[in-house]
Amino acid sequence: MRVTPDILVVGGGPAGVAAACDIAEANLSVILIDQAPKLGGVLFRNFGDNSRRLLPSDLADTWRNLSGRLTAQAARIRTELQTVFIGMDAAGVVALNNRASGKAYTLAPRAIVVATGAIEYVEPLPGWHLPKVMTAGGLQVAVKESGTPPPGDILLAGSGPLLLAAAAQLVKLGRPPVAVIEAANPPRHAFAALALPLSYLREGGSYLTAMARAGVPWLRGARLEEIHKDGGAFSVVVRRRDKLHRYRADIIALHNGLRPNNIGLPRQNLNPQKGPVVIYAGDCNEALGGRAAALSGSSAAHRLLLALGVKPATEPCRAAADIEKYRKFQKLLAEVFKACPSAEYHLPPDETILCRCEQQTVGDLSIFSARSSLSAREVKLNGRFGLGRCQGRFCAEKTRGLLLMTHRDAPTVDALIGQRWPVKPIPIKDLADLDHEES
Amino acid sequence: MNLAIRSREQYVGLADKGGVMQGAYFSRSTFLAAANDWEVAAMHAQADELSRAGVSLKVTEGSDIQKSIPCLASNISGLVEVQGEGHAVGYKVVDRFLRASGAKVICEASALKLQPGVKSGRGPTVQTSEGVIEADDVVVAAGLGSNALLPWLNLWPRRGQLIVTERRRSVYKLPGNFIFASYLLEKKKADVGQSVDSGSAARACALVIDPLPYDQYLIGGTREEDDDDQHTEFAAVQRILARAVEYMPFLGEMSVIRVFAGVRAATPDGLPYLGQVKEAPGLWVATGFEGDGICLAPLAGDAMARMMAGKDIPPGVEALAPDSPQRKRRES
Repeated sequence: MRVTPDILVVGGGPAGVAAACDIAEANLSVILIDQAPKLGGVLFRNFGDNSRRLLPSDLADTWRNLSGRLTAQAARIRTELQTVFIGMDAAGVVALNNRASGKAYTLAPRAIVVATGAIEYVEPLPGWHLPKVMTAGGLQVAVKESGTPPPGDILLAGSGPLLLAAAAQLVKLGRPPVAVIEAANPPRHAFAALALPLSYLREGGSYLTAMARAGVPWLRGARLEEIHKDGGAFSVVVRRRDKLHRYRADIIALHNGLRPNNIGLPRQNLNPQKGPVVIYAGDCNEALGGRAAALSGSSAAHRLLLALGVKPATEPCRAAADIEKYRKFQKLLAEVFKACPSAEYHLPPDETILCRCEQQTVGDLSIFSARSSLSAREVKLNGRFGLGRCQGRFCAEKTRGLLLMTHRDAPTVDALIGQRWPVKPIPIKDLADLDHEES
Repeated sequence: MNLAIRSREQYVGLADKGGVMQGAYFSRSTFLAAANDWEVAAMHAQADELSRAGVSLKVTEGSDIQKSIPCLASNISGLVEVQGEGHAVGYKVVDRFLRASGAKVICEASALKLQPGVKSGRGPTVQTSEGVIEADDVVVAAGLGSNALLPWLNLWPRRGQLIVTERRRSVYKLPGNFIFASYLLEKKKADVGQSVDSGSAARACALVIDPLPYDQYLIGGTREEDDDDQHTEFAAVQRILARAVEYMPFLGEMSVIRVFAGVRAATPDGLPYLGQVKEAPGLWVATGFEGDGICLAPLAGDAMARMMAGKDIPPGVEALAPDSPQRKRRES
């Protein structure tokens, strides 16, 4: 029987590692888990291999600093990789599952830092669910893990700066994408963009330069409307104002923004009398990007220590003020990347898949069209949305978005998903053999 | 039991060609399984009762059990197939009845207060969060929430923690719902008003493995005296799953996608409330089915309509009148 550490940190990206270090430096013991085989999160995974040359230098410094602190606190921080957070039950007990060994065990920590990062949002359009259609962030992770992009011509579409980052990385690796389809027209908001810090502008500028040198078209004010299988590849239809453009590609990477990945997780709680303290950190709390993540982790650790009545090792840093700055930048970026009116999202055709797990379509939502008020329960049970293997992780927001077009009071994402465990599916045999650690 | 059999017959009728329950009710067998001597005894007691009620059964023993249902572990030593049973998909049943009735539905409205009607005058009045509703007749069918309107009903919560698996095709296909005999014992114990262990990790657990449409399984469940439907525990779920894998090893490879709790409304004597409230013109109660509500829905709805219209009701229903003096009360 192992001894329960004081604090559980879920997620080994910059926010989770920063929180773990701050907590350990205040003399508490920490168990830090990540579902991947290495720490770093999507930004810093495989750091030192491929990602070093793909990252802006200020970000690389952040991770180097965190890694050093983690090594220094090795005695107080137990790191468990390939380990997923199954959930917290009504008794405040937490269960973890090592995916490599199949071992599941419970802990009773005093507090939990949830630093599970962001999840990409993709607007449903015909063909988005097909194999070889992925998210742009997913493509970046695959590139970092294998060192090379997947074979074939790649098309990037959707909206946001992440598309440009992904395009520039592909250029650096000698595999420029076919095109980048962007719903907004950022140069039109150049004035707003000037309020962004130099590091952001420099980063954006380097991406655009790389794309221009490789001759990658950046089609702005445009929307990818349909993806069709065409032989072994895809043929896609892009609308820009009244004109239709067609492209062929082997891989499509979509991206329409980032959302906090707090799906199904226990709610935040700062009162130890009401069960374990739970604090969200980093993009899981608010999608502000990699630069804000470490600061957010420190800020979360500080609040956690105060809630437990433990004196922090350092005085509160300027984290809160700095985070406010990144929040402002994120708002500016959202303005710069606001979809042009002619490229705004509209209701996709009925046969468009909405829920991949249960193969439910946009048309399947029409059973609710005659109803004036709708409960989350009906949408789930009668519509079978949010009930599949992903438990709504990928369809709940899409479903709510489309229902809002016809129902003013469509159920919220939170009501559709709830706080149920397991957060990720777990094999019955692992749960049946659950090992209860001593507290 | 006779009422359950009659209700099932009604389902069969409604599920027939073009009926409202087509696609919401399926005929299938239920299996009672036992793994040790006392479970075998409980299983046979239940089988005898069913047999006396005219239900056709098929008893299998020894190694024939695993021959007929290969996914059962060798520790299963007794099996009774209860034939002609059925599976009513709860949420579909509710949706179908609702649509067939043409009733106006007001969502997210709480019934706050009930004003009884007067003899040969107006019916009861219900104050709701969405306004006051007057009717000739009012049926209170709010499960545990019925206590707030009629406290003397004294309904008790009996929570069940349940597990749903992913969709996955397996070489095995369960031919019906499997009830392990310990479930019968737990339910009997609860029905005679014995307190069911609660509060400890060793929560009363009774195993039911129910194959759902689309290759999923519903595995349950606990029986606990508590009304918090957000309360699920690893320890309780582990106990249920450990036994599920012990009896059906192939389930071990499937993944759990959802764990949830539901609260059944139980009456002090274990019999549902179905009928008119004396001295309260136009006031009716239909609740306290304790997990059997979907099974008894066609019978309960039909009997309720008949009672209101002054028509004949099936034998046995009169004993379910909510304020009958013969019914047992339980001290709070």
